[in-house]
Amino acid sequence: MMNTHTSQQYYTELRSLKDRLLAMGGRCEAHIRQALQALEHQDAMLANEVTGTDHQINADELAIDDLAVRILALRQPVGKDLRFLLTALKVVTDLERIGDEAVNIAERAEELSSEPHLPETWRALPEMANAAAAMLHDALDAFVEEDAEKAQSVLEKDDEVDEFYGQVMRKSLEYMAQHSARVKAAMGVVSCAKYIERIADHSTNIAEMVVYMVRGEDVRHRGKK
Amino acid sequence: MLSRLRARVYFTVAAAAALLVGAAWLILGPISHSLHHDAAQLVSYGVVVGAFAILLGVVVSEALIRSLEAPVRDLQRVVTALAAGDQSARIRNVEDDELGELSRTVDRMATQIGARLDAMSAEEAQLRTILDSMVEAVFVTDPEGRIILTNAALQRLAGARVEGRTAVEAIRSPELHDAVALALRGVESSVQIETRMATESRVLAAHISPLPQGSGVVTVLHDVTDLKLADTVRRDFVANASHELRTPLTAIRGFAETLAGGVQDPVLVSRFVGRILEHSVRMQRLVDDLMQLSRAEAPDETFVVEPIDLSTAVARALRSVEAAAAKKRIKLQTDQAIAGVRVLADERALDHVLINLADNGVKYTPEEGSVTVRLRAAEDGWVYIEVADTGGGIAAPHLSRIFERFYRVDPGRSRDVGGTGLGLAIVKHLTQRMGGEVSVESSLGVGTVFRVKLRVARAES
Repeated sequence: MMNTHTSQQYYTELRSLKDRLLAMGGRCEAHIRQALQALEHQDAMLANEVTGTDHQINADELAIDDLAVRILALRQPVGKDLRFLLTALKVVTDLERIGDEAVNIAERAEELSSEPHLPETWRALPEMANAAAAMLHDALDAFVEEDAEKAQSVLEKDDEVDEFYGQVMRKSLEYMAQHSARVKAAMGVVSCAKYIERIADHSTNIAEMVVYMVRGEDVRHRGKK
Repeated sequence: MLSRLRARVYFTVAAAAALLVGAAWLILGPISHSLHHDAAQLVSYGVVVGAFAILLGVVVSEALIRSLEAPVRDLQRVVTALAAGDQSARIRNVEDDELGELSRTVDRMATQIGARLDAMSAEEAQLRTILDSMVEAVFVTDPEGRIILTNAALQRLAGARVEGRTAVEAIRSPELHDAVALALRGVESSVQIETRMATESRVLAAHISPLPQGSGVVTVLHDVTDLKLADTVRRDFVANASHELRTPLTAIRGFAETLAGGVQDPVLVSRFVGRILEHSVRMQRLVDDLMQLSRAEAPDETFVVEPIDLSTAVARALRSVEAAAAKKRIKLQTDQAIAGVRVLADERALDHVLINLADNGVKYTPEEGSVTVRLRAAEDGWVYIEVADTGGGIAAPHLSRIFERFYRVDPGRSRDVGGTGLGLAIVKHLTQRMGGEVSVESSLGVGTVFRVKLRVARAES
């Protein structure tokens, strides 16, 4: 049985872990936003900034991993606290991947910045990225509020982003058929759409882990395939 | 207290009676034999009198206790009410004795507490009003970093109640998270953050200060989203204007340098001078448009809104594009309904609006097409002046942006036809200055309709 002082310290550690995860989530959202801005304004400098600050997300991942493992080892939590720590360990991995996807978008943005103008097909990307970023935001909201229903609603939004991806893909194929000289640029746009679609997938993973954390129920790989 | 007093009095009376009876028994018992039965009767009398005395004692002490009970209960009621927060409770009947003095002291104390609480709640209400009337969002945390106080602006910004949460739970920003952690250790800082709030992304300037004695952190957030947007618009405008001016200037300089280098061929000289002229006309047009736009936006520029005969204004506008239309065999048409209609407008501004729209129509309509100016009734007292062309139309994603300065649907084509990218921005601002509004509707391959909504001049005005 922990004494009051130790238990106070334990809850402070759990809260600090949660806050760091949320701050990392905020950083990921910012990187997605900046990468899209870099793409839209063909701004190579901003794109470079996203690529150059990815190390912060990696550092977040290491620090959170370290803290979670230390709590697990020293406090040996059970029940809900254990599920929270397991969730944190998985969420941090997804967040780090989301950061990588933002870097991928920034790299394509840098390549596309030298084009005279972006292929028309890019116009769907800001809305698509906004939808994916909203999924990430809502998944983390659900995590804060320990709200399984909100997490569930994030799972439903994944189809919307998939639909966007399908549209961009179709339009890009048409565009490439008509503008053979711009295939490379059009492929850049398609890649960005794919990265955004993956951001939505990672956000879905986070939402699934929140459902697990709150209800102790595993909802992964349900209703798919 | 009184029940204890009552028990003690009864116990004393009972003990006194028992002592009395016992003493009577002890004294009268041994002599009763020598006193015959008259004396026994005397003993019985004694017992009866004793019993009566006890009864009297009980009645008198009960009456005494009752007389104490009322003020004590009153005191108890008032103290209970005060403890429950009712500051208006006061003692009703105050006697001139020790209990009365106690009651008066309690009353005085109640009055003082009431006054202090009133002052405190007035102060709190004042603080609340000040906080809630602030444009900036404010939150205060406890030493653990949990939010304990917010204002209305923060609730609006966050779209939810955030008390009890940590700063980063309320506003998902790593920079704010770090700054609050720093302030909890006593370091003041300022950061600019961009983060998704309730519905949209906002840019916030945050100032985070520690509270005295490490009792928490106070954060003030100023929403600078609109300022930042205005700054971006301004920077884009300057960049665009410089770019638009530089292009013809570079050409002029190039031709002038070549001429200065001593070109002898009169054909080349004439061609180069022609180009210089052409580009200087383009620059002139851009500078004119920039000045026109700046006038339309200047708050001190006066616009005289008066009844203007619409058919005259439309005829003037169409005359100015007649030559260009004839070149492309474009038909210029006017709706009969325009005749006799007077709108409330500034004459020069209305001319600019109509000429700009008619000119656009002619520019973007292919040969053999038509540009029509027609009238349509809007809600009571208003009309729509529509300028419809049979051009290629504008794709939906562009429609919401075509009134922006330097926004071009097709940059290359726009420059080819001599557009400055400012025409529609001028139309929008001038229409707004006349109290009207402008909108656009377009379908690809069919044409575009620009709609200027203005107030109709009443017959008497």
